[in-house]
Amino acid sequence: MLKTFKQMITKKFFLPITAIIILLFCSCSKENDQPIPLQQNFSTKSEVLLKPAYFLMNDKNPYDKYGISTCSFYNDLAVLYGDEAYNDIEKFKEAFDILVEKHKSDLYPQVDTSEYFEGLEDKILKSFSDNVTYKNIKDLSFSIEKEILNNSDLSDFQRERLLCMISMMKFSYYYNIEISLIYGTFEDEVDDCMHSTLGQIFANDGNPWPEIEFVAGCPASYFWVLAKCVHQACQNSIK
Amino acid sequence: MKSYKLEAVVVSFFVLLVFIASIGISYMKLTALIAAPFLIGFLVFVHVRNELLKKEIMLLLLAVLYKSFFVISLVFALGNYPGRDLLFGISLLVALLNICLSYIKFKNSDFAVVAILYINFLGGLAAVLPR
Repeated sequence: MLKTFKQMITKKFFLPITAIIILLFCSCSKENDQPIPLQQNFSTKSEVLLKPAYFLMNDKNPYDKYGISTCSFYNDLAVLYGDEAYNDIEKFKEAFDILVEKHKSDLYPQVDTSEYFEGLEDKILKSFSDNVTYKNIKDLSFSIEKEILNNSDLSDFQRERLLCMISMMKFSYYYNIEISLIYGTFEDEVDDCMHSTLGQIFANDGNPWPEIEFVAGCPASYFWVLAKCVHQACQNSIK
Repeated sequence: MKSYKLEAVVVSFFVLLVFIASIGISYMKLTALIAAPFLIGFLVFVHVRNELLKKEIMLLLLAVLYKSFFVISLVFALGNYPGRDLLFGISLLVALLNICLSYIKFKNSDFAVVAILYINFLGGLAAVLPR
């Protein structure tokens, strides 16, 4: 009697009970029940995570002084990223706005971008953004700044604007890489790479071929994407 | 039957891994991502060794294909990667095609039952994983 009951339990109820447990676990959310008060003064909480990038300062670029002053903004931002209280996107946005307001005087001045996308300017900025890496950031930015200063085809207004933009790009690139080195794990890097690679393949761009290629090549195409991302993450961790 | 048991055990371990990763334990997601190709390799191996399937090459191909698609769509659902819905839809379609073929053409319900189990468990888990 007991044996048949046991068999009935294992055979008839095992699968439904497993399914219910799986559904229960999946429906559990990790959100906190209690709202967390917004901390307005981030700097008092923070240790110094980022140091100003003095080595990126070029004497010939007057906008690089803002690159040094924005370090305090990125430092507070790094603290914000690491604070679990701001995992909720709405709370993070609120705190970010407060942070921007607090560091208003440290940030770069507004750039007039009217009539911007014209040949030469676009080419200079693109050559920087396409070729910049963590290793060559100093050499590349200095050479491009030299090119801007020596280029006679640029007007004074364009020259100022380009110097400001290059300075903004190099310092923000550097500080963002520093922040990602503080918090990014190997798993995060693989995950980010998977998101960006698959995002390009499954982009809603009206071209179905990358999607068709991926699906037709499955599972080999999945192996390839995963191998590429793991390799990339390994390369980054070696750096 | 023995190979089915082995397949069930290995696939259930993978489902457990995905389940643990979905809770948010660190490095479990990466483990699941890397385990998927090995699981697919194992599935290919099991199917190639299956004497019954060797005679029906069409069924063998379809079975390997829908199982691989289910494993990949589960991984996509875990990471919430772009294209998860498309892959889930394709895996369902291939599994349904397998069910139809095994019932109508080959008059073999065993393969169809396995496909239904895959749809229910792996497909069900892929559908309920949070976006």
